[in-house]
Amino acid sequence: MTKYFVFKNQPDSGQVNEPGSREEMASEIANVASRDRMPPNYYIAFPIEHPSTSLESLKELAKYSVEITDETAEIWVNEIQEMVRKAHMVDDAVSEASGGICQAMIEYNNSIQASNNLQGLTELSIKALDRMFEYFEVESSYEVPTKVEEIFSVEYFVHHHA
Amino acid sequence: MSKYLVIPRRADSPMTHAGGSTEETICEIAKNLLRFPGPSDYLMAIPADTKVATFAVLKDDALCSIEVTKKTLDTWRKDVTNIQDAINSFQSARDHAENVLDQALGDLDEAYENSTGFQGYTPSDDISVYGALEEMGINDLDYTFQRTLQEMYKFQVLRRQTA
Repeated sequence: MTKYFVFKNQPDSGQVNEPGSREEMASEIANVASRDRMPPNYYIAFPIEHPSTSLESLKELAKYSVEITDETAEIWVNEIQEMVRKAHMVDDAVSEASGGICQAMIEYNNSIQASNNLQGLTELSIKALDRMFEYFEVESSYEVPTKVEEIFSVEYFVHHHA
Repeated sequence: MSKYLVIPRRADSPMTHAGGSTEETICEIAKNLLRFPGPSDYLMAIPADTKVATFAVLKDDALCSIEVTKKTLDTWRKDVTNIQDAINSFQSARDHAENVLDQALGDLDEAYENSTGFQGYTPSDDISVYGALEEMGINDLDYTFQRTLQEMYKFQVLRRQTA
């Protein structure tokens, strides 16, 4: 088992995770656990024993630690990556669905407001719609990150800056 | 308030209502509220207090009665089409949303089902656009709107259309 520290990669660092490496895997795992869908190489990972770790730690403290074994690496490649991709597709579908329905609701409400004699019709609640889609997003994106945290023993580090 | 009866126009009848007339608008209202499958000029509107109307009732020709005022006629001409279009757009958006989500959720369900470590959870069980809109009480916009129009025009069905 190897433990990695995952840092936010500085835009001007000139460093990226080596494609296909365990470091890249650790960064992707942290990205999934964060639930933020950041772009590739937003994070950079180093094994704890790596000499860069202490230096990086000085520049900016680690945000996550991730543990990877050969067995969990295989689960990541064979199952989780595809599941993450599909969960993101559900997120995208939720956004598309939400946008389309919200626009239609606004047009319906506008048509009632603009009428002379049908303003008694009940307008639709955009807030209720937002809540509904927020619930969908939580439901669709909860399981995978939670399981990923568990499998890879992801730890979060909270830093308080003065 | 003027009351009209609406009857089917005989196929060989040369009479049609003048464009923009009250009778023409009433036929449009009747087509909508009756969900009459043909065009509105297959219908004719006649004032309810005429002998022709009495005769139509006796012959069981009258499909429905509708009452209008200048204000409610204006409402039909200026507002109803916009709102109906908005309802149709909403229903299209809802159907599209359900389809898009169904497809994405179907793929995710399958991935969960085929996994070794993630079984036992079916994402689509918890996510349904129709179900959620039903809970919000907005799946029946069209029904509510039709009811409002029926009340506004004091719409009464007098004879069921045959298939």
